Amino acid sequence: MNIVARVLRRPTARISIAVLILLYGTMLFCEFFSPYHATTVFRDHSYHPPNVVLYSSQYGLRPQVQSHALIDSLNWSYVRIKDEYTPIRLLVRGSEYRMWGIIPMRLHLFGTGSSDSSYPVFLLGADHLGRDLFSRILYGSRISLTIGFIGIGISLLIAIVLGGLAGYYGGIVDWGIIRLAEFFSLIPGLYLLLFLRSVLSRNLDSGQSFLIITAILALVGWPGSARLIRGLVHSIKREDYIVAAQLQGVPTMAILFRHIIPQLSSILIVSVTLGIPGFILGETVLSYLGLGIVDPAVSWGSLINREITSLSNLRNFPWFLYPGFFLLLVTLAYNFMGDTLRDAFDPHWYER
Amino acid sequence: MKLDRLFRLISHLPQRYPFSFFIGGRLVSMTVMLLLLGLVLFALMQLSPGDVVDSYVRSVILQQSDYQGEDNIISEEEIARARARLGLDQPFYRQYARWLRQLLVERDLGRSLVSRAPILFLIRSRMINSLILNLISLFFLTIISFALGIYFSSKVGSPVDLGATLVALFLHAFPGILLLILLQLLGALSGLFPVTAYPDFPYHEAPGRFVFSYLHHVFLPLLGAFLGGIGGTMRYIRATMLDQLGKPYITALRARGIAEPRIYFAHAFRNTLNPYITSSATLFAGLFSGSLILEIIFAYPGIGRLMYEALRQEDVNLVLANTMFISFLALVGYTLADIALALVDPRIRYRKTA
Amino acid sequence: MPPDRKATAPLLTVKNLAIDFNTPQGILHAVRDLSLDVYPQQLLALVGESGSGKSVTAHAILRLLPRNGQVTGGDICYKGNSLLAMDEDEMRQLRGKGIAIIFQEPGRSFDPLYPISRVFQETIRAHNSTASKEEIYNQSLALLGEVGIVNPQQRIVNYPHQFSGGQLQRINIALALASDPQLLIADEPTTALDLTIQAEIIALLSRLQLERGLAILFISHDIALVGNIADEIAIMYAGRILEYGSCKTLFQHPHHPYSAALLRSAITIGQHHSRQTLQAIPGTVPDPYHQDSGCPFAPRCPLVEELCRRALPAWQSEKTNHRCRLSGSKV
Repeated sequence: MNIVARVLRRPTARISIAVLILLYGTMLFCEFFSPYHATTVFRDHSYHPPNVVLYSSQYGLRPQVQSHALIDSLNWSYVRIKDEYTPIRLLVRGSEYRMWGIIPMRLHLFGTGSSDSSYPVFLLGADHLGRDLFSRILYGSRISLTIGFIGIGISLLIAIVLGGLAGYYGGIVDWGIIRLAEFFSLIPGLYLLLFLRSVLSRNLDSGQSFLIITAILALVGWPGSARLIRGLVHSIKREDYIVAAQLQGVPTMAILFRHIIPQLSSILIVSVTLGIPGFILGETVLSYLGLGIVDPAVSWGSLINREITSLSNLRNFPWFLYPGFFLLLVTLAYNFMGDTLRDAFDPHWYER
Repeated sequence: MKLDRLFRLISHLPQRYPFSFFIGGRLVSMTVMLLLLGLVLFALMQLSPGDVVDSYVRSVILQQSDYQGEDNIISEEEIARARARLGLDQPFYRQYARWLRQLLVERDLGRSLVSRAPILFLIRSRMINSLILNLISLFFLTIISFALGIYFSSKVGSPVDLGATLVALFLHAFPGILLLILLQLLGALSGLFPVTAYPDFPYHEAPGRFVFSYLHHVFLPLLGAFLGGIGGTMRYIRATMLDQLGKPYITALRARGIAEPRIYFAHAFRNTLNPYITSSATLFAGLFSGSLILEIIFAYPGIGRLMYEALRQEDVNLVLANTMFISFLALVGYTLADIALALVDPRIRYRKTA
Repeated sequence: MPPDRKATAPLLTVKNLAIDFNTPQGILHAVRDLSLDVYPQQLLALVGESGSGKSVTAHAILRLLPRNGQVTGGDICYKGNSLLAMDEDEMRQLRGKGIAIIFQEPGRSFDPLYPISRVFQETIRAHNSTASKEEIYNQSLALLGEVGIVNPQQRIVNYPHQFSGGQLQRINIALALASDPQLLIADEPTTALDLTIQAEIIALLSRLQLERGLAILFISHDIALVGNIADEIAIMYAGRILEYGSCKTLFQHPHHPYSAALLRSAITIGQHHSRQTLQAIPGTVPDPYHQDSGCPFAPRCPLVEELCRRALPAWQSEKTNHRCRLSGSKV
């Protein structure tokens, strides 16, 4: 039975794949799927609660927006206005945007229209500046969902090169690289993350901070995989076909990177799948502490920044937790996926 | 002649006292690692774009009460002078040497910009708090994950076991931040537990009441640390148990007629304990990482919170000292684990004599 | 089919044993229709190439099959009592006391964390819970001496990793003898050892068979090795026994083409081998997942006929018992 069939046999894996496809799909076209831009401010709608209802006597059974009125501008409490509904329309022409920053478009998956009179749709409520949380979550996924890929890409690259060299050459190279890895894993991960962050300037623009955070996460993340790869390379290099290649005079680098490393693909796939959530959470932690992505850039971490998800805020505006649930969904999907893959690749599972 | 005998005596020491020698070697390599680590950290500091040190120097000048300059405008010369006074204009290894002398000889690393308290005092008291918290966590994690791991390894393949592994994976995958936020919210909404993690009166005021109040305060954060860790460790123990139970020596024991409980506890379990000792050091370091967030969310006065405060204040000196001490602690953990493993594993203990 | 010997009752009887393994690739038929008798004080050799189901049979006799393996047919009896019908505790009592077993890689038969003295203690206590420490100590030393460990007083405190492979196999044998079993199953006991050590272990087993009146079921892939020590020999291929008889007769007049091929491919020490005398068997072992009704050796057999592929013939008694439709003279 092949790997794909073995993976798909598990319901948890099927659900995980569906969730990931859905999230990455919406991320790719987030301009279209979100009713507004992440930075669109509705000035009088700070802390607006979610306002989508499914039924009213006016429009019957269909998604619609119920208007709210601000009754207390100190505590930002709203009341629902009876019988004041705006229907939600699909594929509506709304605010202008550039798809992927290139193609100018106005089409949104849903919304209440672009005219000023139409009441804004807050599917998951609005934040402290009156920005639509749902749109912000979708735009935020651009950073949160890609940082894992890029981070693990860089860290795996370091790990493959260093781990491969250490495992293949052994001796002094091995000793040096392993000491280096030990060095990086000596400091508890988050402290190293914070230390590295502290030596860098605080005031970075969003592009810089994205790059720097990814680099830091990769620097903190590589030693574990490097050690894994080193061990595997070490055992594979004794195999007869590798010795044969050496005797034929195949260049060392070709043996290492064209013949040995590809053998590890299944293990690497598993460690990538299980490693991505760590990178996503790393960004979240930094941004939560206000040391990562900051306004006007948006990521899931910055959406649950500790000043936003303070206890009093959560009491009054529980919808601020929604970005956290998206985070949960992603980490669960990756972990269940990775777990299934590991079992599927392990040919000895039935002996247990 | 005498020298010769002395040399021979010394060269025989490893054979005669293999274990003491092992410990000695560990301690030496630990010290070397730590010294090197400090050097690297200082080098990183120096490599960093200058404005971090600059803003630190500015804050130092501003905090000095005798500062006479015009408000908030500090001249370049003054910064340069302060830099020289703090030794920050020197190459990193000089700075490091100076720092080590301050630490080891003068026992004074200066004052923090956060609370103006001496850095060493701050770190010591905060470190003890964090240590208590994480040791309690480690204790419960170990006991309960062993109990569950052993139990479910004996039920492998059954519906109970499948359910447990699913729950464990769920807990393992649950983002720690979200878990802590939810727990705090739960505590606040139910009113059963305080939302901060430390009693509001000092220990010496009423020791008995303090301990009780401490446990009450620390319950939720501990639950968070526990739930965050249990999934991973339980799965690890279960997998190691199963791995051991699949080994040929277990079959050999069964073939000799050894009773099943004995095989389980005296053999499979004992052999699971050893790799756990090694990984418990990593787990411990991981707990410190986790408790950083925990301390911030629940306002627990530990080293993680100190690190965060230092970072927010751009107190470079405190950040550095914090990082060094936390690494020291982690290294002590790793070394202790190595020694403990050598104590229980004959293959390491007798390596020299074999 | 074991040769008929009405005079004595066999110690161990295996009758029509079938063993299946549940694997992701499907059901694997490891052993089919396997019957053998081990008589007191006799050495029966079970010979076949790797993957033929020898070790699985050994494990099945002591009910030590891994989780996914299962006896799906036949019976195993020790002194007339079915082992498959015993409960776990009766079975545990029998292991070591009635039937003992030693395995292929001696180093892997030990828990690395316990010194040899402790291993003896727990092994002896398993069948004699009242034994005092002193009794156990003395008995352990005697056993170690019997199997040829030099300086047992000094070595008994050592840990497994401080012994060589040959020494460990001796200790394994000593442990197997601790509760005085009547049958010892030796599952490829020398495969992982050097040739010289191999000979020493074989000599030790032979001596024990004689001195202790031990019955031995010796499992090996090396037909030349067992030729010197076996009383009877059973040739196994692809989960089935194809020929069964007295060792001497089988060596002189192999009836089954597979036995003959095995003998031709064997290396015998002290004999000059040329390309002609040492012959490999062409082809590979059949797929254990899909077995048809024909003779399993048919695809590799030099004398194969059309009928061979259709059905495996019943047992035929000539000088040995075998399952080949061709008469012995042709082979």
